[in-house]
Amino acid sequence: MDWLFEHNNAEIFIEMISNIKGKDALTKPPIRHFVSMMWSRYQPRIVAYVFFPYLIYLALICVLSGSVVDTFMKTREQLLFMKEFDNLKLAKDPLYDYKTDLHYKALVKIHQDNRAFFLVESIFLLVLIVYFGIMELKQYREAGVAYFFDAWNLIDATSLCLNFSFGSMFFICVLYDEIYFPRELILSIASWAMLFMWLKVFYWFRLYSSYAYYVRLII
Amino acid sequence: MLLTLVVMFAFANFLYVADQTLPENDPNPYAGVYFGYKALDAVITVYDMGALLDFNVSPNYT
Repeated sequence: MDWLFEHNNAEIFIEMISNIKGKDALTKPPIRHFVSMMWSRYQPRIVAYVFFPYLIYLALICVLSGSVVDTFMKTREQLLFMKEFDNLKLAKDPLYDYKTDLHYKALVKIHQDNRAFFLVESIFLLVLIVYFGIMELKQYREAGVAYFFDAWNLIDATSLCLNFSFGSMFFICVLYDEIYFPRELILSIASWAMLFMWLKVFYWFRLYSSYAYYVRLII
Repeated sequence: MLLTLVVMFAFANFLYVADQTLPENDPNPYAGVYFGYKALDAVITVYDMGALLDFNVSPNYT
């Protein structure tokens, strides 16, 4: 294997094995030996470029689905209800105008203050979805239809679709002053999205040698 | 231990978010009521169900 460490042979070799279609070649003993030798260099880069962004992605979805969507959509529902209440002239006072109601004014202020922040959060989420979506698309291009034969690829694809549905629905609701998607629908999708995201965290433990054995044992 | 916690949090988070889709004061929430903090209650429910196999089916369901 000495030739591998002369000049930029290792770089060429890595590029070659990364372009091999089908991952069977990676199970060959010399290549496995090489990868295990270089693992101390690969691991920090995988952590920095994939695992760390994934943790941010997970945290963002946790925050959005855990409290933000619920709070934001409930306030929106309340505001629309007050508007509708006035339009239908259901108030006892015939001169009642929802726009002068102090409670309405306070709600609008809270709603508008939060809106810009939530808009940034949902855009950031969509950016992360695109980042991980590109990775999945690359894998699909390399593997072709075989991509769908691996259970973890299916989980990845399902998770991405759920996250995109959740993120885009919330983004549209924040952007426009209407409820295009009911809160219950967004949160139902979010709950499944969260489950898949956490299950993927379980798979991420393969990165660490002390856990990899147990993860492989279970899966 | 850490792997168990990850799986517990996965299901607890699912229950916690799913509970938010229910109307206020629903008598049959997905997660049980133990301490009154919804997030903590969801974790306890998963521990109860997954580790102790206590399904604690509410009589309201029957």
